Amino acid sequence: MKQPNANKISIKKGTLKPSAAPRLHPDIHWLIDYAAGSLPLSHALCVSAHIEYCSLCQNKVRELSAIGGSLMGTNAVSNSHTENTRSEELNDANAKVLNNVWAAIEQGEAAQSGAETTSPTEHVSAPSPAQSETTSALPECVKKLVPNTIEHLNWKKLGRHLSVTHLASGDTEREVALHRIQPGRGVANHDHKGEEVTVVLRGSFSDQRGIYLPGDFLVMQAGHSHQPVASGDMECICLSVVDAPIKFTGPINRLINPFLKIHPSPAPA
Amino acid sequence: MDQSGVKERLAHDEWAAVMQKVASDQDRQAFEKLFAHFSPKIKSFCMMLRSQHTSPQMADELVQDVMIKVWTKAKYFNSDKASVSTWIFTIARNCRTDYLRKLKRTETPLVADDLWPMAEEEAPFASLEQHRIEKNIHHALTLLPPEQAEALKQIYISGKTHAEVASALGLPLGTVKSRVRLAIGKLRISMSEISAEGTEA
Repeated sequence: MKQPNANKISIKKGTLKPSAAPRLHPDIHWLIDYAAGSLPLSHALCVSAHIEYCSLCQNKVRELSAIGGSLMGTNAVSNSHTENTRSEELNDANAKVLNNVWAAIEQGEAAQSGAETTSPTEHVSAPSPAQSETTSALPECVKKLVPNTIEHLNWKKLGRHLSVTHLASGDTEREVALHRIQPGRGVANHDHKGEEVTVVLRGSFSDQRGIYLPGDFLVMQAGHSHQPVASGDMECICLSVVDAPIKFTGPINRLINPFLKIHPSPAPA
Repeated sequence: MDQSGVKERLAHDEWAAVMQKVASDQDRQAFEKLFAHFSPKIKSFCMMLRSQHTSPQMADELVQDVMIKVWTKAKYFNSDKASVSTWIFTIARNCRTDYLRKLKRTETPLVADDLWPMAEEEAPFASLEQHRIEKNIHHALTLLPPEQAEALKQIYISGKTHAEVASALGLPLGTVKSRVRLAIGKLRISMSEISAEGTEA
């Protein structure tokens, strides 16, 4: 299904929801794995962030989920005969599960009437009053990894114009980070030792290949080398997920490489 | 359309009505009807997970988690946005993800509903034809060549990525990718054809 892509390149200042639709999207296989629920946590985070900017991929995911809904039924072959016999009777095991479900629901409702404040769903996002403008404009899923405001995160300088902060995502095999590049400034040429996924969250940057706008989803393969420069009017914030540490290729920057070790979330004991 | 397709159409409308009863009247009988129909599907979905943790007990616990959510979130169900089976699939997928995360004792502030926002929250791009489109996926699925259908099922149900499915099936990644891409292409064409059909129901 081809849809005309809105190709305007204009960024409304100060808001993360761009007036231009992202132009770089996850490959369909990423979206399928995302809809199927099999993407690793940090990659699902990237797709989820992209989707907040991208109605095109949002619709694709909706379609792909519908396929999942249809497939979920088809493998329940052993039960087809019970459905044919009109009354779908429960076997003992299922009846036990149903009893448990009712018990849990009644318990939940009893607790609910005790504390008549929030909705019955267990996760209610409480908006933190202290959120900065930049923080509140981040995609919802990224905000979950920012306990206070983006300014309160532990930013480390990686050169004069680039800083990085690692987010505790829980993924033990990949490093999740936010990168900030100052307006109009560049980052030393570096290449990527492992696959890196980047989603532009705010501002924009460009490299030899082009300009990247909010919501744009880039996958850089190992060995890819580039020199990103943030656009002039505002700082650029990117979400990045990397399988292995990146490597700076310039002569002086090579010296800081030992510090660029991968920082995945600590593995549970 | 063959007979089974017609039957599926009827079945879909029926389930949306049952779901509505649960949502608006907290109708317990309607809920038990949903349970009888969907719990085997959820259970087999969970049993198909390729994981060392997969067991009938785990599947039963997940059925329980999913059906509790179906009850508590029933008011968010919107038949314009998703069919009942798709809605329950997204709940099952999210519950399965969270369940596995707990088993692995992953420390993370992210729950599945953060990463896969449920259709209920806001769907500014919702297609009004959604449930009608979905009715016809069933039919389109039956028309897929077996190897494409198998690849697609593995991708959706086994909890494995393309690369992992390829190695499990002993096939090159490119082969699995192209089978899935072809299958998805056909299904999406059938969806868009249906949505272009207009509204006759």
